Amino acid sequence: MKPSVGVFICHCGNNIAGAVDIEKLKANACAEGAECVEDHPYLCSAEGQSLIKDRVNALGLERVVVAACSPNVHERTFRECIGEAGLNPYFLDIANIREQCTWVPSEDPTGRAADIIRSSINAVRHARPLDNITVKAEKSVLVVGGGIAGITAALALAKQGIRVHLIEKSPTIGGNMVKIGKVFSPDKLTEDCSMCSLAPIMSEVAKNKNIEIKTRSKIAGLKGHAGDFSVTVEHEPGFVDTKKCTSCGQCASVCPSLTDDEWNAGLCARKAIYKPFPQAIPAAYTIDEKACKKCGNCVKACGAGAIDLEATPFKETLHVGSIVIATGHKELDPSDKYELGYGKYEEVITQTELARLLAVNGPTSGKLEIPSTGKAPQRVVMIQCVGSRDEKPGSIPYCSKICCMVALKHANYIKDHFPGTEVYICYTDIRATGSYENYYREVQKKDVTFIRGRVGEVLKNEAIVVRVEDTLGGGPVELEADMVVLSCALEPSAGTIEAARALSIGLTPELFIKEKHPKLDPASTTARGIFVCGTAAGAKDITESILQARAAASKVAELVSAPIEIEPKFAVIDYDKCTSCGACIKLCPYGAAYSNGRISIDPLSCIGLGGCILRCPEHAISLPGSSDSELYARIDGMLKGEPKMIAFLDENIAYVAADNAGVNRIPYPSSVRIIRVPSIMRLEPKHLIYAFERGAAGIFLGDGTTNSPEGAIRANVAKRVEELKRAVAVAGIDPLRIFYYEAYLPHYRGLASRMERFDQELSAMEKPPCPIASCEKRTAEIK
Amino acid sequence: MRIALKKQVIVNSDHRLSHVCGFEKCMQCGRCTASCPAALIYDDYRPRDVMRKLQLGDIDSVMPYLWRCGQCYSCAARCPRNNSVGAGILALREKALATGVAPENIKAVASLIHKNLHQRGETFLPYMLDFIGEFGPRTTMRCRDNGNRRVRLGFDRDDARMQPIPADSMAEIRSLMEMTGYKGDNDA
Amino acid sequence: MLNALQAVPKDNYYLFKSCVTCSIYPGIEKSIRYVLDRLEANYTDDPRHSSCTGFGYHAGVVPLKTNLALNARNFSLAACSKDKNIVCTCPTSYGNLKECKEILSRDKALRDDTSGALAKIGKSFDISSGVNHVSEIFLARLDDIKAKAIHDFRGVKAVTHHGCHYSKIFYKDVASGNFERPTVVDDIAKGLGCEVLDYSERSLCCGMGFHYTMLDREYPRTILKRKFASIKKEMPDLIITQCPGCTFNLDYYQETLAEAVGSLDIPVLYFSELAALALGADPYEIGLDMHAVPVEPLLERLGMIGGKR
Repeated sequence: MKPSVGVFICHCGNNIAGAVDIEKLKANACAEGAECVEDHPYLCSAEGQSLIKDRVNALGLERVVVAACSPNVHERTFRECIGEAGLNPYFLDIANIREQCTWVPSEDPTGRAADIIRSSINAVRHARPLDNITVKAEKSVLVVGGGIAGITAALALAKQGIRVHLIEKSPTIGGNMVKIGKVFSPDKLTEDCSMCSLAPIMSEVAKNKNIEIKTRSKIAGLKGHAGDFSVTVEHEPGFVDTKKCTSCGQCASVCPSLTDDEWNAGLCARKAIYKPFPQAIPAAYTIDEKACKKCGNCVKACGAGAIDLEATPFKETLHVGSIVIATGHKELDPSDKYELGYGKYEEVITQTELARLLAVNGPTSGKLEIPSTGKAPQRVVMIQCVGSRDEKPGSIPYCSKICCMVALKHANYIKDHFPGTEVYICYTDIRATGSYENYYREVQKKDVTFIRGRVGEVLKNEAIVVRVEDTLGGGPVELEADMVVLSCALEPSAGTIEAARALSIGLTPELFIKEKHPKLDPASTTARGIFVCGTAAGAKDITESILQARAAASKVAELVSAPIEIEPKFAVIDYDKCTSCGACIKLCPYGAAYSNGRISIDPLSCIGLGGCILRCPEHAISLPGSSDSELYARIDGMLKGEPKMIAFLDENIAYVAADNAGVNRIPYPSSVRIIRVPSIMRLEPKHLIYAFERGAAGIFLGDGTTNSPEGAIRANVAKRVEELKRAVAVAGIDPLRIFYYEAYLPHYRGLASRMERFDQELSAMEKPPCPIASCEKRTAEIK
Repeated sequence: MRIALKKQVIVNSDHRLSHVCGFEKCMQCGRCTASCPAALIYDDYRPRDVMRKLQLGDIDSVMPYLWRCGQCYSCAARCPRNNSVGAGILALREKALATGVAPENIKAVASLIHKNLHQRGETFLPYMLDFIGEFGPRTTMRCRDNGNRRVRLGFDRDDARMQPIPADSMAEIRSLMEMTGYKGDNDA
Repeated sequence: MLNALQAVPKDNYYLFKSCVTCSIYPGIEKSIRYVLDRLEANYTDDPRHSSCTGFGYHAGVVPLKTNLALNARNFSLAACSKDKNIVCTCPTSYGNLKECKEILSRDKALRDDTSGALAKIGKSFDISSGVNHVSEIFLARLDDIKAKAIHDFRGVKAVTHHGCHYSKIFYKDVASGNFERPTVVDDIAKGLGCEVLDYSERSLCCGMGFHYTMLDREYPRTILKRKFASIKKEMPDLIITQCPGCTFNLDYYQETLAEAVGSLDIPVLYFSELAALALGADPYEIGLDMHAVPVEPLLERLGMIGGKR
């Protein structure tokens, strides 16, 4: 028993009524077996909608076709309308007879409109009831990395009532910002103490009840999907109970073992049992296992009984709704750049080492001196772009963004605090963007000498000599120096690469975390539900890290703070057919398919392209609203009479471009009949063969999703088009009857002209071979 | 300088200029000049300048300085854009010789090398050591008998090798030289 | 050591002779053959290959197309030989052959022209042979050399100099160390017992300069003054090289530059001469008497000669 269908045709004032014969269309609709056929000047009006609802209720209509403007204008309106009348909102189909019919200059708009309406009537009879689903994510987040980005994100989320697990690899949070000593301030034209800004935030994190800090912790593995992750976290022992430790320091005074102090860039030593720095959080001592001799002196000395040398590593599993990666960066190690003498000459240091030297809490208590000799330098030469903007092996091709400002900051500080010291900066470009230009100008005024040239090498010939060209006319220069400071590139930290591997998310060629769409979706990674912020995603300064941390926090909040309603546009698995072969898991570019006992599709990650449908060997996957029967029905509806060009257009780009063509009254061939699909990846050979055997002269495939952040992958689309062409060739149809066009939203003229061109090519070919009668057997076989 | 608004016809048919030199992407950072031994010695030569002139299409002004380069490729090894000034220099040198704007002493070298290749299929021959100037009395004395010593070691006196290249191979080599338009004084 | 070392062929070498090497130091070639024979390596000494023309090419006097055609012919000969792995004595040959191979692989027009020219002389176009420098071969087989060595150079302090064309043109392919600090020769020297010292101008070109050798001696002299001044600070017993041109420059100029940098008298040995001596070769059989700076005092000190002539 076919469900009863009501067809409502809108005049749209004169937009539709002025171009087509409404009465004829009504008669056609009746002829198709519609139980109710009405027309109205403005169906979208309150009166028009009332008409629909009245008819539905009065006649017990089970399906509704609205023949009017584009679904992109009022589909939602009419769904709500029939919903109010008691019908499932997805029992509606819109016949686009305005943008894609009456607004397109052509010979027989009435004929075209009749086809479009018939197609909708056919399809709506196959519609299934659908509902939005609600996804409730775990209201918690794992933040990986406790630097400025991680703790900003953690606080932003905690303050919204979201539970935060903050894990950090080292014994304390704080990250690279702890080491830099000073931050530059463009409005004050001076340097602020970085710890003064950072430590209060660190304290806040410690005090916030919604944040649990776990230091000496790393990600070991991941299961699950957005909203429902199970993360395995590994904890290394610090051998000191941070709750019992009072930071009295007795343990360190009796510890016999010394090692390099990494918080001072290795420029001085610390004990194996140590507190990283006074403001460390957790505020406790910790033991460096590699340096520890296990002598037990500290245990004896500890009045609080906080030390347990037998502590062991352990793992735990955390259930969280979302993950934020904030694993930071490291300074490139210039030891392999033999031509710069780092590691060979004690006078050559990095900007981080200089920052520690100039820091009041550093190894020299803020005195500028050459680390090994203790002498104050007369001339400091800074070398920019060490390992940055460099395509040679061992370097990074991009600009590290902050090193120009770091050099200016240190130059300014040295000039202010160590007057009489000469400072030279050898640069390729000075990148002081925005109001940082003021800073650059002020530093120039302090008599810092700028040489525009990328340094070739640093040698020792009696004195240290820096070889550079003054490209602004001075020629090759041999600059003597007694301290050389290398402004090294920012590289991804080891933790960043480890986290990416553990979470199976994409990395850029330089091994930073790959942002899903660096321009339009910068805090997202390639995995739904996992976000990134800070230098883990690429070189940036503190301000940008904070901005990105807040962006990531905002995205986490969208996901986890309240249940999310999702439209039923995602793929669904029929478990009667699924054999758990896992093919869909391997091929989905969005990682939407996952195994969880059985194969599942994450509604949050699936964007509904339908590419997986063809690939499932058991044909167990389907897209609601785009079932095989609906597609066949639409094709049937379009193909009555003369051979037509069926145009399958993706709903987001190509279909909208076609609407735009109509809005601009651009003509395209009268034979074109447009069918909206999620993407042409939904199409299978059987659909095309069906269309040809029902009398289609040609099939136009338009898809523009490859240009947007959430769309098909271009290579996959090209592959699919080739596959479709081959399959129809095997079925005896000329593959030149298929035309693929990569659509662009603004290029609706291009869409029209391609259809025109294809139409001409088709006219040059022989008439399509297939009369409808002999097809029916074949189509029955295909179905 | 004035860059006139007329169509510039630049024929860049040398593979080294179009694919190896890379002057289009040169950022003029000067690392090549900072690393160049010739730039250290000669005030009038800066590899970065050569790249700049190529960028501006002003090749003529660079012609006199082409012969400063010692072809060590320190520029190529250090360039952050993976360019090679050295390769560009070779392309320009070929052009200079083809159009006759090379210095006379370079033309003499060209002539000599062509002769060596044409006669023996080798570029550097034992007699050229006589060319290479004064190296001090002790060295001159120690090395004056090297002609005999090479024979003692089994090498031909006048050829670089133990045996000269056989005649049929020499015919092939000469043929290739001619086919590729490599002309010397002894060619018609 | 990098992956480039793992890719070095272990046998079947097409010996690519160098006109610079054999014109100035024919003993170097003899020492290479000596070592390869002792290693029982299979190699072909084909009389038919031409010079790579690199000396003339880099002087700028050999046109590109001629360079490509002559070397395509050389590649063709190697491909038809029973031993196809091209091994060069001179870094300029190494760099030039590799460059010809790369250009011919990438540029269809040049490839078509070149293979057309080859066809006219009855040769096939086949540039499949790999190209290595003989120092890479020795490094790959260093263990075998050490196993057969009867002398070692313990107590000898050496500095090394790598040919610019070995490390700076194909900078990704350096077999040991990296292009800023190649250590192929260092590894061989250390393997044979030398103590290898660093010096500040290690990566500076020797200043041979191709056309400069025949024209303007100011260029090599000025560069060598820097180079020698830096080497002299380390007071080595020996300078070890991997290029005949560098060997020539570092060897022949010591006497006349003594005035500027102080007396040097540091013997210069190509690494294969060192290896051959280690394996027991007679110094005169490998032509060490053809060197400008006397090698004899060092050999006497090491007991390798006893006043023999």
